[in-house]
Amino acid sequence: METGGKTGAKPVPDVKFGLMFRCERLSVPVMRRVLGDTLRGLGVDEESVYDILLAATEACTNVLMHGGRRIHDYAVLTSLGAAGCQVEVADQGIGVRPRRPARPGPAAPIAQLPESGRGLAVMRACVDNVTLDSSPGRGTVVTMRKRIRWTREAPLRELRAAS
Amino acid sequence: MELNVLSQFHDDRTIVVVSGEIDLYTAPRLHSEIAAALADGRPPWLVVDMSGVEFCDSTGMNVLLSCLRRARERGGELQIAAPRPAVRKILQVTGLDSVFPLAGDADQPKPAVPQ
Ligand SMILES: Nc1ncnc2c1ncn2[C@@H]1O[C@H](COP(=O)(O)OP(=O)(O)OP(=O)(O)O)[C@@H](O)[C@H]1O
Ligand SMILES: [Mg+2]
Repeated sequence: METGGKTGAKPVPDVKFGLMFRCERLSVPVMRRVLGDTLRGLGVDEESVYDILLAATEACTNVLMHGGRRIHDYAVLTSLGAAGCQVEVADQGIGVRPRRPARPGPAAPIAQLPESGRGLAVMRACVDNVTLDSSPGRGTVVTMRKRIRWTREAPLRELRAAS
Repeated sequence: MELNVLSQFHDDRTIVVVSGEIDLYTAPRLHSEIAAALADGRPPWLVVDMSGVEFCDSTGMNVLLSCLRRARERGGELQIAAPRPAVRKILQVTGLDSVFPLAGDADQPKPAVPQ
């Protein structure tokens, strides 16, 4: 995680943890439960937790919806440090296929509003930075970074100092 | 925490009370419950009470949008009632807050009760 800054903050995250999930719908709420409890336990403020869980939910949903049938599992790797939180959702699926023609925006008449295509926009609204790295046949990694607020009880010294 | 859906059928409208978390795991159940409330022979006027919804993502919005469309095709309406911050957030970031009528909103016309 890039934490290097003018303030000379520690360049490595204080905590890094990875979760692997089998590709099934139930993994999405389970991911939220485990990631949310862990972030709260480390002192991440509730509003930041919600934003991270919403963005991560969209990314995991995309793995299950678009990753293809060949994959059996996917990874959620989280790093937390004074500079913020990074969540990587990685699969070894079919990768992002070329886009279809542009979709109408939300101002379009209701009959033309698509019933999908909002996940990435939701991620971008919830975190500061989203990158999607994908090549055909080699899977997809979505990386989300967010500066966060800490609660007073943040247990790690480094993190508490950032609050 | 999962999803609970309870439909209250009235003569002129159906109130669907939803609580819990709406995502890829629970969306199919939300869809079938609302679709049942919109079945032929039932009034196409729906109020979805979301006061108990603690999480909702774009998959949930997709379900509500398809049901909104179905209600309007049948000459009715689907209103969202009592959204908490989680629902307000997803409505706002998807831009769908301008699409879904909010029940009890002074700016919104009340559903005209078909006589
Ligand atoms: N892990 C992934 N593997 C393959 N393709 C992906 C992956 N993540 C995203 N995509 C591609 O990016 C597109 C945009 O994703 P986005 O979440 O914005 O929309 P959507 O999933 O199509 O619709 P919605 O999220 O509203 O249900 C997807 O349609 C898909 O083609
Ligand atoms: Mg999506």
